[in-house]
Amino acid sequence: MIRKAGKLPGVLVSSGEYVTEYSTDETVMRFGAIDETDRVVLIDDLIATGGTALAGFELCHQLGAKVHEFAAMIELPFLHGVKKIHEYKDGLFKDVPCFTVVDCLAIGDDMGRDPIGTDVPRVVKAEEVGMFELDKESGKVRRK
Amino acid sequence: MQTPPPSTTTTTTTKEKTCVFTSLFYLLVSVAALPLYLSLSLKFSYYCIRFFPNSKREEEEEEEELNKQEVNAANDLVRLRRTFSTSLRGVPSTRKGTPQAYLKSKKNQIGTPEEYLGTPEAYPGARMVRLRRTQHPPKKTKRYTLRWCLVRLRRVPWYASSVPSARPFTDFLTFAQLNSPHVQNFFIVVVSFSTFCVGGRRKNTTHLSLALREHKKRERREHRGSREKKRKDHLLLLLLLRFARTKRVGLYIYIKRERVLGKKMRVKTLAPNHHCLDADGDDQLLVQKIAKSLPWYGPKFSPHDVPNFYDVSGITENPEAFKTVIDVFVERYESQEEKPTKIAGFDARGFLFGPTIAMRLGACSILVVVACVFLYGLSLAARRARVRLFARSLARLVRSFSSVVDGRCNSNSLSDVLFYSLSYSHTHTQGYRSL
Repeated sequence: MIRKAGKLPGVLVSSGEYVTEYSTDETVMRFGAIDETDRVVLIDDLIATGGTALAGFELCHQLGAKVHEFAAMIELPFLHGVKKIHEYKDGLFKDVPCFTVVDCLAIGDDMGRDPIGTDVPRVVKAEEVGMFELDKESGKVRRK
Repeated sequence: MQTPPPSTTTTTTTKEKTCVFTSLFYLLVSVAALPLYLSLSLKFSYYCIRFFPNSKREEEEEEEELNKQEVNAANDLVRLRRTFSTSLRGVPSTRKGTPQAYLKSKKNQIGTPEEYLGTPEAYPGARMVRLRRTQHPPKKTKRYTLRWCLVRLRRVPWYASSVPSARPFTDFLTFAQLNSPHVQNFFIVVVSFSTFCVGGRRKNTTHLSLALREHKKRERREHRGSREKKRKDHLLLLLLLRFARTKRVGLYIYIKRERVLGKKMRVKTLAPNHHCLDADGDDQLLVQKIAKSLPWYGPKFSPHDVPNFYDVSGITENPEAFKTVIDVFVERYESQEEKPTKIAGFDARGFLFGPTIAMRLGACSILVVVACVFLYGLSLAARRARVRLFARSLARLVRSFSSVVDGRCNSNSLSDVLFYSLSYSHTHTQGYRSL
């Protein structure tokens, strides 16, 4: 388990601060979770600029473990996250395979699920749920 | 002068005499009748015992119960079949659900295998015979199908592994020999689990899996595709489990995944050491299934100011897609020679996938399912009755199975073979006599 700082109990190991597409964060792991004998698969939902991924790579590298592979469900090819991983510190991780299941082009524009119309708030109060409905065809929310 | 009335004395004497006589007569009669009565009653009870022996009564009850169970089982099978045939008929694939989902939905009715199977450790004396691997199967194997296995396997006597003539079977079979004294016969049914096959070719496989592959290939060619085949495998397993439970017979299932080396996922290489699923190849549908369950939101409706915020909860909310994703990873890491030892998920959505994959990688070793159904010790008559019942219901099982799987199968001949082989092995084999 690789978590953001301030959430895990016990003695932790930190990667130091890193910059992601969204914010600046620090990644920590429980002390002793990984050692030199391990081959670690790093898995995340999405690879954008590769900041989070590199924090995980760095963490594993410093602990002496080998990164078996980095895997992500979605890739954003225009941000070149995988390239960044492979070029990091003169190719320190260039031999580590990165496996992405689908890229954003395969998902396509038709999977956009922003609501229909402009009168749908970001958070609907639970008691007001009846005023909105899910459009079966598009999977989007709209006001009744 | 008073003269005693002689008549009275005579009458009293005669009365006394008659009384004595009658009592004597009764006494005699009763004395004479006692042994007769005793003997009669004894004999009667003897006949009672002869005609209505307790064991007989029990047997009858048992048989009745078995009959009842058989009827229930038949009804269940019919229901199962109906559900399956309707679910297989032209319903869009998204509504059909996965075999796992089906199993899950039927869980309450059928129960988990562990519930009545236990672990292999629960069967002392069970011995596994290892599967032999060959590169080049004889031509014959092309004919092997699931049904064929079922039928032919029935001919394996329980001591098969020690008999040289049984070699052809041991060649392509993994089976357990159960040395328990209660076991008179067992059934070996090999069911392929194709659920973990995402794609790619297999090398180094066994006769059986080759045969199954042939079968699958043919099915794919002739019918609609491999997804249905998976479902059918599950159906067979379901039927077997159901059958075993309703018949109150032991069912020993050994689940083993044969590690297949050299299997290649259809993966596209985008750059050195950068791979992704090949969206244009044979797995096109698979990739689409995953891609089309990933919605994205614009900046106004997402936590970060990015043009497209992708949400993986679309995958976790769609069991079929989630399973596919996990399968992809499990398949990938299983086929690699150097395996990962730890899977680390990133905060927080990496947690969704990491543990699931890790669990499957650690626990899954499934491809071949060997099920042994065996009968317990009974009196001779009941044993025969049960064997017959067993044969009948097994035949019915196969019949219903085969009609679901393949309409062109000649089910009558199949059941005849089954019936014959069952009764034959039970009356004529050494295994029977020794017990």
